[in-house]
Amino acid sequence: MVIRSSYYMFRRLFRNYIGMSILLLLPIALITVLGLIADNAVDDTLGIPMKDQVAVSMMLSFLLFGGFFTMEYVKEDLLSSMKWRMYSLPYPSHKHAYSILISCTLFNVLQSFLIVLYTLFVYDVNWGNLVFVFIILLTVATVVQFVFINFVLGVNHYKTAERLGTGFGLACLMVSEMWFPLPEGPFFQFLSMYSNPFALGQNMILATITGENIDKAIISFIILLVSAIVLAISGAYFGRRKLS
Amino acid sequence: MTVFQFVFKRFFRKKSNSIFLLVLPIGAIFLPVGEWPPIPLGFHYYGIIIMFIASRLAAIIMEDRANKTLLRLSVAPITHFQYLLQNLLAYTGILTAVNLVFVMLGVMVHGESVPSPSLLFIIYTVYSITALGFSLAWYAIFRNKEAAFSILGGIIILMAMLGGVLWPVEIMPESLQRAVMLLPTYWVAEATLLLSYGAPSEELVVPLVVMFLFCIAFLLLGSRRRLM
Repeated sequence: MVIRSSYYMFRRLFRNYIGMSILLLLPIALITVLGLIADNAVDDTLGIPMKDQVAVSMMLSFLLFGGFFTMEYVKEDLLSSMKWRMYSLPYPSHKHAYSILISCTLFNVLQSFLIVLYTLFVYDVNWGNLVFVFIILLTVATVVQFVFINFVLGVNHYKTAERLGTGFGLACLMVSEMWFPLPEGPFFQFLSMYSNPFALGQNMILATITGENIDKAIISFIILLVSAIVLAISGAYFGRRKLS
Repeated sequence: MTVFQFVFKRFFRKKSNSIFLLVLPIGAIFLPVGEWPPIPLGFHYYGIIIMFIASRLAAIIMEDRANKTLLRLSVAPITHFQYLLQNLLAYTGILTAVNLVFVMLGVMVHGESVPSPSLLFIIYTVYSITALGFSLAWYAIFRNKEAAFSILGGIIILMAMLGGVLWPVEIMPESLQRAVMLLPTYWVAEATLLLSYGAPSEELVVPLVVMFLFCIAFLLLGSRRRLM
């Protein structure tokens, strides 16, 4: 049942042109513009071209906001007046929540992977092994979706959940030193390295690109897995409370 | 001038709107002087902030269309021209007040490094009208308010990048440098740059006139009455 409804959710996602234009076309446009400016400059600290750096950070930062799909559909189907119709069906609403989660995660991974392919062909960005990149995207997207489903199921008002989502995304970008460097010190270093899905994903992708710091990537992967499990448990708890 | 008054009532009834009007400009004031351009960065980036505020203001017209207020207004004894004029006048008033506060606070914080406060204020005010026209034209294309609003955010950032607000236009490829003259953001960046390099004030006329022409073009595109 879940698989079958996931298929229909997936088809529904393909018709969500607004979501696609924001999460797929906008990053591609931004990467294109930034790529024009980056030219052939090389990032000194990482030793990779600026274009690669821009592509990695853009792709991951838009992946962070992909959770809005889940939030939107959970609200639309399970929390608004549509929920009475859903309850009348011989189809438990938690199964629908699972199918929303699965299809949105896959859709997000697909979107990000399209950006990866675009940058690979157009800007010749070296992504390393694409299978690894796919796995990394899958783990990061899973964690992000779990975070967002926790938001939408955990708080009472949808507006609050929406704000939490935006705040989460921006906070992740901020502590990963996307806009400005954090102060010195071991605490801030840890914060910018391992504290959020964006930084963890970046660690892993940079490891596949450069082939260095593999240990950092493995630690990041373990942190992501553990947080995915914790978030899944709390999401299930909140879901039981809200959807029954 | 009932519509005019009600725009204020409607806009300031939501607390988040008043906060939104103040947070970005006040945050921008405290930005330091960067390597480029030779004025405090906040004054250069303020063009983007104007666009964001304008997009929020013009969303009121979109809201009217989406919840069919416009349809009801068409049976009321008020012409569409009056409705539009009073709305836009109110938005311009709000934005001008914000500009005035921004320039005054900016002068207080940065003092001597601000080139000419009165000319800056004129540039911002003309650009505010252009930005309102742009938002109006943008919202005229869409039916769904949420979609229009969220895509517009990305478009504004892209326009700012291409128009030379975030970095000099000169570092972009030759072919693009000519094309971006079609963006209104290019002209506001050009105007503030001219001012910051101390060009004579006659040279400011070209960007100001172009911004005004943009405004007329956008208003022509956006002012058509669409009931649905």
